[in-house]
Amino acid sequence: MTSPGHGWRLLAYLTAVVAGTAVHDPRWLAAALGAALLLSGRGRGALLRRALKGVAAVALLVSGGYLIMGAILGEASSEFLLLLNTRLILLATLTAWAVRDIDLDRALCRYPEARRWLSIVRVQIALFVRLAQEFRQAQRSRAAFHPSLASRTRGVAALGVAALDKALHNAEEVTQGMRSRGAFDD
Amino acid sequence: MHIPDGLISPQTYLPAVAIAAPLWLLASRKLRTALEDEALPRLAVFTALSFLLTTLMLPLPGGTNGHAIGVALLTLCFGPWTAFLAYSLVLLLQALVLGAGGITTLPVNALAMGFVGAWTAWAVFSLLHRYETAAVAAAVWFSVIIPALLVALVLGAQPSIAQAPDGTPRFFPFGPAVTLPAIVIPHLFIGAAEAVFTCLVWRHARRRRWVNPDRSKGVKAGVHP
Amino acid sequence: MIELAEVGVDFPDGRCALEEIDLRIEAGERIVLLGANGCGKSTLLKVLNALIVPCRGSYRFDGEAIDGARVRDRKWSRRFRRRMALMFQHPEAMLFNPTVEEEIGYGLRHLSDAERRERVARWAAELGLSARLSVPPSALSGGEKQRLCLACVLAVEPDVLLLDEPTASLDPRTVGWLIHHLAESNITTIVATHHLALAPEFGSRAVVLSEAHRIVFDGPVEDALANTPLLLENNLAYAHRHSHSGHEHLHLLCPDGLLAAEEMK
Repeated sequence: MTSPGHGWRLLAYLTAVVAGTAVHDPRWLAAALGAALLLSGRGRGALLRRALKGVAAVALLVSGGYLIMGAILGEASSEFLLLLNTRLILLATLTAWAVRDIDLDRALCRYPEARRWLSIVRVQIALFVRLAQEFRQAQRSRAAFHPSLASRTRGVAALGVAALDKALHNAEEVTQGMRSRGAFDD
Repeated sequence: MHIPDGLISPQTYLPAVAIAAPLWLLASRKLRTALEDEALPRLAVFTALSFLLTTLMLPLPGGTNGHAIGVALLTLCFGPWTAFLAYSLVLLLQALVLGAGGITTLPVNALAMGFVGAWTAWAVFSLLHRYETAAVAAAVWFSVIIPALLVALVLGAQPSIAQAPDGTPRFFPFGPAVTLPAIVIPHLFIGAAEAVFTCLVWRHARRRRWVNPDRSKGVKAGVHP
Repeated sequence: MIELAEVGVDFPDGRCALEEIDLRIEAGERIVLLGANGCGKSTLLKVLNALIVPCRGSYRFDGEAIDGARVRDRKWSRRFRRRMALMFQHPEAMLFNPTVEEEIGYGLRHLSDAERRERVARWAAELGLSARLSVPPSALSGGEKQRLCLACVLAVEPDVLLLDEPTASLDPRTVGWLIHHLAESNITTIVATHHLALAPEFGSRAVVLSEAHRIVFDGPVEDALANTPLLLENNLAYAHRHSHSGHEHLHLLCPDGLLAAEEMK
């Protein structure tokens, strides 16, 4: 049912991320990226795509800005650009791999309270996401014209009120649900 | 405003962990003492609420949107410790379950937006609570601007904190002259949009008695310092 | 077994949730709690399950008075929770374990591992969840979540079972299974519903709550269903007059369909 393996995986991921920020040679970082992709097994292409998608905007913005500043001031370093981008891609790949292969619930198998918290959060997030979707769909179905800034703001505020209302109600309900099943009697 | 991994040096995030860890511990103790058995389910539900708030798209003029942070709303309704904890946990979930944001930058993000954001909102609201709507608006605006300022300073400090012997940066390359306007100016507008949003929600919150009007600093469901 | 005397409950904002509730339930009885939305059915079930302590009146379970101090006594609570189980109207309230297997087994912590596994497997099979045991409850569909909640409360094998709107999102096959299962067992059941058509299937005694949060009827289900003014006054049905072929009819409709048709002179 539970596996200590995921706890070790989480630890290995955290160590690798810290190590990825402590090494400043792009060749080592590139080698680590290659090793990570090799070890991640099938689906490594999807992993790399996911990582690139996650950091593309930041990498382009920072690199582009650096190049422009460098052109103006005349002191751009290609070594730095290589270091920054390799590091960003390596860390994003490690995170994408962790998200794919570490089951947080199993990683927390020694911490029953944390697992319970995570389970409730997951159920509740699904509820809140559904609430938000229904709200947006209802807004779209009722909007005859392109909504103004004021009406868009009112729409988001109405969702905020509904979410807060639901949160207070659900917090009470989940507490009662847990009490009813003897969760506070141990 | 989420900073991804790779832009912040260990010289920055390791001390941030050292500051954040005891604060997380203290926040969870306060929550437990105040709510006893109810702490776990309440924190879980508020984490989910916080998750929703961070995904809300605030309308900005010109048909554009900005992400809400929601820390001020959580603070005004449930107290700064709960807001800080719920927001930190959302960052953790976003990093480890969705792969968004970063794990090394989590303590910096949590301290800036979660801790400083929550306490700024709390302090400003307490200071101005006689003029309620203005207090809410100011609390929200400052709770967006001050953390944005902090994040800009932390990022802007990176070239001086972590550089190679030849002076080239190793992490984020721009100094505060670039980061301050680039980060703070958009947040002036996001803060204003979030202030309008929060004031509208607050009006309903008051009408539905989620908040106690007599104790302007107190809220029924939260944990208070 | 259960005795409520003059019980009243107020919401934190001062609104009344229940008023002057007198109810006596003997072991083995099967009761249907009828009432419109918002009349206090869920609150009454929560009072019975010792989740809400009444503001007024008294509640006794097997002769023991249930008050704030009793509810806080963890030893008593452990015993009580094994004897009485409540299935909430919204399944999300009861789901807080990482997997379906752990969720069903949660109320069985007092059993040995082997016994617990056997019981979890049995109830998962009964409710068609055997293939979903390792899945997190958040990944289940709405109907599956409701079946999981049912498995959770039935697996405890309680003496008293409280079901809050069990038919709301259950599929017809599971509703049929539940009705059959309850009829076969000798568990004391209290089923809250506003589905009149299913009321006789769930019990022989009806308790009707009014929109003023009071008990306005306590007697045989058939009598309640035949009492048109009672159903109309308490928002459990509405009358619809229409005519075809020159004959005027009065149809008594309830949320789940036609309850009765009467030809008018």
